[in-house]
Amino acid sequence: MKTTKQPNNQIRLYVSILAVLLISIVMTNCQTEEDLIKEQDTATALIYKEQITAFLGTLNLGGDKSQNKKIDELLQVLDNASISTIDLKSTEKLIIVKTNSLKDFETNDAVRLIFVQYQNKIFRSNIVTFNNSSDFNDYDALLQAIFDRKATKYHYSGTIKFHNPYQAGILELNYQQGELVWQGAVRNKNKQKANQKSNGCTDWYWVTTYSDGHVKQEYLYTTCSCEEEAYRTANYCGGGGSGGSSSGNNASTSTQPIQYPENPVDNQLFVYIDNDGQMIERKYNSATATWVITSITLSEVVINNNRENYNTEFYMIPDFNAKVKQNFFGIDFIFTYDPASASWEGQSEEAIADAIEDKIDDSELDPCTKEVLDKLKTLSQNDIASIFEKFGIPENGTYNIKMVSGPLNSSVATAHTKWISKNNYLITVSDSYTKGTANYQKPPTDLAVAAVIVHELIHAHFFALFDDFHNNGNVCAYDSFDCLYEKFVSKNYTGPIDEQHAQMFDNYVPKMAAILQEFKPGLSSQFYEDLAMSTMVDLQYFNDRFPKGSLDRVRIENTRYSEDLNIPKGDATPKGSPCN
Amino acid sequence: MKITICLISSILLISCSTSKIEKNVLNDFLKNQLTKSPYIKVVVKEPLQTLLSLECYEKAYQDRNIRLGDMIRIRPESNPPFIWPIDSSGIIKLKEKYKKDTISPWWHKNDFQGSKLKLANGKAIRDFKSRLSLRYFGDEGITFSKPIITADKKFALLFFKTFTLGKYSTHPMQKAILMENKEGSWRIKEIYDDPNVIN
Repeated sequence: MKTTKQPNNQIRLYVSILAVLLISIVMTNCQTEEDLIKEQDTATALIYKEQITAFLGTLNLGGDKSQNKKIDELLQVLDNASISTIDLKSTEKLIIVKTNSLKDFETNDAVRLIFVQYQNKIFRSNIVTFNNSSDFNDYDALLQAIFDRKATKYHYSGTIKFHNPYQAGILELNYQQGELVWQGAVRNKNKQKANQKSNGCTDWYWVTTYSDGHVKQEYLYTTCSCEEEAYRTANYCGGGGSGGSSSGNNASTSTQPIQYPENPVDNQLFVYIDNDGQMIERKYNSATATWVITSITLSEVVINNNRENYNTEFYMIPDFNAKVKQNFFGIDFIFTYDPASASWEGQSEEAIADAIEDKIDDSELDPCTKEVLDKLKTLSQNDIASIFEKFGIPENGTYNIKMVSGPLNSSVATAHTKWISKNNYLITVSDSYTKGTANYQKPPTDLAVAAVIVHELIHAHFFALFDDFHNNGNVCAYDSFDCLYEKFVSKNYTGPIDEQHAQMFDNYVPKMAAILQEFKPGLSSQFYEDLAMSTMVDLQYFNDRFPKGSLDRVRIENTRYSEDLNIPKGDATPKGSPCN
Repeated sequence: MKITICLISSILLISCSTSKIEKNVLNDFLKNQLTKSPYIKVVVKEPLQTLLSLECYEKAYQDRNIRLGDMIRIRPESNPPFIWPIDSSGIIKLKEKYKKDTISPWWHKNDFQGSKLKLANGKAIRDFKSRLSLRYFGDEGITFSKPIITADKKFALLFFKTFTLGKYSTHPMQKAILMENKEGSWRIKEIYDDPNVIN
């Protein structure tokens, strides 16, 4: 027995030695790789440290001793090992220096020096302090969330304060469980008059805005020169300068012409900061070979530096959900204030309409209707987003549309749209219609279903305008909609049909025809107009304009019947493809 | 015996009187609808549930102080200020009175004075290929409930639906109507519908 076991033991021994050798080799290799990474990290940190040192050196304003002292204090706490970086969504880079030893900041739970870099050049820095109400340690992620204007703040509870490099507080944010409760910021008392400084001086206040809308103001100081203002606040009042997504110090950026990426692909995004400090996002449209502006982000610093370029609402004290509409570059933008980053993020109406379109929940839609909807979404000139854009989209462009297939309150109805709650609308397309239950199981054509979808989406849009006026406080929501205005604002509407269909009749038939034409091109314009108009059949407006038996009415009715039932009717033959 | 005959006669008279009021309400309502929509040609034989109109009015009444922008289940169609001739106790009394009203008998031709409306059953209407659908293609059909009359006989409520014949309905309607008796004729005072749903 023993003699048979000996060779096995020897084998085991050899295997063990081999394993130890292999592990040693692997570990040595790993160690080499780790060393290499460490060396690279150290080299990178050194580069950042050099950039930071150079940037801080530029902040010596006029050789003032107290300012120099503050900058020197920052330079002293710089440490290679504590430098980390984060790529922001705006294509800027956030360089973060962890420190616990900055003089006069020791009582905080955490302190970070942050430097915002764009195109390899630092142009802004802040000291950020954290005073926590509960356990927290993921400060870098929280900073990124603030700069990227993410909804999540990781359930943070406590106060975050941004200081300029001279250690003056400029922005303070108080969170409870990730919800912003109040924001404090340095502001002029009367921002509208800030350009008209009395006796060349400006009064500055610490203004605290609460989530419930109330505001407190406390006098801080008066500045009478640009240098003093820059030292005290975050502003460089002379010259162009730039900004970004958050308040902070300001330095000029490049004035070079924009260098767009080479060989762009369709929908490629490109972000840059222009000479006024506005952060611009463009999207490449390969069909037109152009870079279309989709969003503009304005920091308060940028707005303060170029007040004449912006509507007065921008420099009033904004509440947490403030919105401002302004035209830039010939495009209407809707700006929403983000109190956490103290910046305004503007999206073009086209971008908002596209976002609403993208968000349509079609998960409970039958395959036929879903296919039609998908095709309507991708039309190049008259996609369904163009419905939302027509006459301007609601300022609160965050509404949600869900489309489902299901039963309706009438077995022979095609679809209906329902207001579920503020900014939430449900479109139900009759399943017995799309299945052809009333038509011996013969379904309608895709063109008929497209006409139904477009009609209902316009209703959803009108509900959104209703919410915008009544729930979002946009007094201009009905500016281009007379019938809706008379019904809900002046309350003197006396039309013979409901206000929504009256409005659709007045404004939307050509738009609907254009969408249907792009959906299935190559037919007569009369056909598209008839199909669009057929969605109004039986309304009194329609009866008045097309009396029963009139040639036009017969043609419109036959066109629709032919598409609804996918059979010829009179002179009309189905032009669409069967919806299966 | 005399007393019994008197009692029976009185009951019959009251019943006839109520029935006559209902008939008047219905005919005045139809006259109005036919003026607005001359394409209504067919009446569904089966009446809708009588209490539908009162339930609709009740929701509108309960939601009368909700501001625009919040969920209002049923709302008057006219412009404010709105009138509310039946209060909550009136609604309770009418509910009690009409709740025993089981499925009503079908409408008969003589219920609609002098009208040329065709009475038809629901099945023929829902079939696009039926003779009725082919004959009345593109016309409108209507279905409604028996009216509810207030105790003072000044107001009446009824519920109706309209739809297209022979094809899919792009805009079927369903509303409750409040009618007021003005010098013997019943006039539409208010229309109630669900402002949250639209076809």
